[in-house]
Amino acid sequence: MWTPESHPLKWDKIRLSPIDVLYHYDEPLIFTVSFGPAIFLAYKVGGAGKNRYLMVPTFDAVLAQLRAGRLSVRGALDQQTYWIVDADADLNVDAAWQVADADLPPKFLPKRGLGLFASAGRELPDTLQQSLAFFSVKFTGARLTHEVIQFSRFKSLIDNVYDSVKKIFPPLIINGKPFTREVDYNIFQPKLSSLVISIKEPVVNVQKIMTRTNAVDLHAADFTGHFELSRDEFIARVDEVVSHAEKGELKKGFAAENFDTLDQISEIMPSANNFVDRVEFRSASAKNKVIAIEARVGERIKLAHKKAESDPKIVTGAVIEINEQSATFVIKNKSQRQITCVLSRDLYDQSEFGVGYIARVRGDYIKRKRRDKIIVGDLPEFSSPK
Amino acid sequence: MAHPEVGKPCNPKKCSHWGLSVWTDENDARHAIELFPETMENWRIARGTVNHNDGVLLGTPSKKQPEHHTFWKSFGLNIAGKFSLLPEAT
Repeated sequence: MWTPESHPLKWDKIRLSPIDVLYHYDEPLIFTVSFGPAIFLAYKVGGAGKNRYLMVPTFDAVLAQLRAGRLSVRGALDQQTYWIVDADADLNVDAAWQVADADLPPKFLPKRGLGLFASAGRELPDTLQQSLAFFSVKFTGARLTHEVIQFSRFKSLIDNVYDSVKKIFPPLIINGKPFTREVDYNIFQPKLSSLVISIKEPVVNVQKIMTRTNAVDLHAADFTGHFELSRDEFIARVDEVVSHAEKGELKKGFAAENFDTLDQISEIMPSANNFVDRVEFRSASAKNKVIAIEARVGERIKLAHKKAESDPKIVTGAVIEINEQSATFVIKNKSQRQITCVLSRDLYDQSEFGVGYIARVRGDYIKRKRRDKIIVGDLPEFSSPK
Repeated sequence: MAHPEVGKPCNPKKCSHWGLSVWTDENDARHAIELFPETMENWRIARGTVNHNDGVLLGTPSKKQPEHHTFWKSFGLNIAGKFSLLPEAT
């Protein structure tokens, strides 16, 4: 841990030249300084009468997000190596130390989530990547450090987030055809130390889609609404699940109704049994919603998912095929997954529906490779297509 | 106490330097203490209600402190009794 008695660097007499003051109370407390060709962000850590500053190299994107209230002060200071600088009243440098993140006294950084001013709120992202991302997932755990992460843990987290993202964003449907392979996601460089996976706007292979659909005038911007809606709906559903889970164990009925959401997130939930203590979802929607899930709540979500997997489920989808002889029909859910619904003859005869109708069925769900199956236990609910 | 009264670097000819920097919302004060845990480690928040007999309060916002206010206490008046220290946040 750094102390003032730590050996300082040899430095010629340098004067810090403030460029812009971002926070002032009786004196500049957060400001930018030029240092040769570089710009540094200075943050005061000295007490009364002591001009001690934490300094990090910075750049326009960080300062813009910080000023706009989209990045926390801690996030603007986020580095692997810091400079601690002692200066006199005229900002002539007296001493300077280069300090690794692990050796920085904890109080030398502000509380997480705080912007420059109280009006920005208390839940701002603590990394630039999260502040710029379309959607992000952040894992926090005592064993997720800045320097290294176990290969197996890294792979497990990346795989699980990838699978979740594929479930959260359903395929594009154009002229009735689903397009999955034509969509991919660029991500920012993953950040260790609280592993952060930040996804940029989805990338759509418009050319390939136009070839497959014979459409002539498609643009990537045409699909922006689809992804934004999927993201915002996911955040709203997760918010509801977490609200219930914070109060206690999730009830059976609630788990059945929200099985899709539980399925999207259960593999990336924190728990006492894995190395993740906390997971944070962030959305770049107008409300900049953030949902943080601690291990205690994560365990309830995982447990509810596990129980619901074997419990009767509720699924909804559009009817695409009817087989009167076998009293079955096939639906396609929002993720374009086909599910065969098996009814008793009695239930089938009571049902009034056709192809295109929206069906809501409840029963024992069986996952299969090509087409899942549900043994329907109650009379399905149908609504006619709009 | 104002900067000239406690010997802090200031310009005694500037009216604003004789005022006290204050906030009118507790959230802004708490935010400052949490934002600077090392620098403001021993700071406490004092809260009180003042009226026009106690002095003059002016909103003096800036880009670097949008909720800033300046309070000039009436000369010779002791209003310390109007303020109490708030408990430290946990």
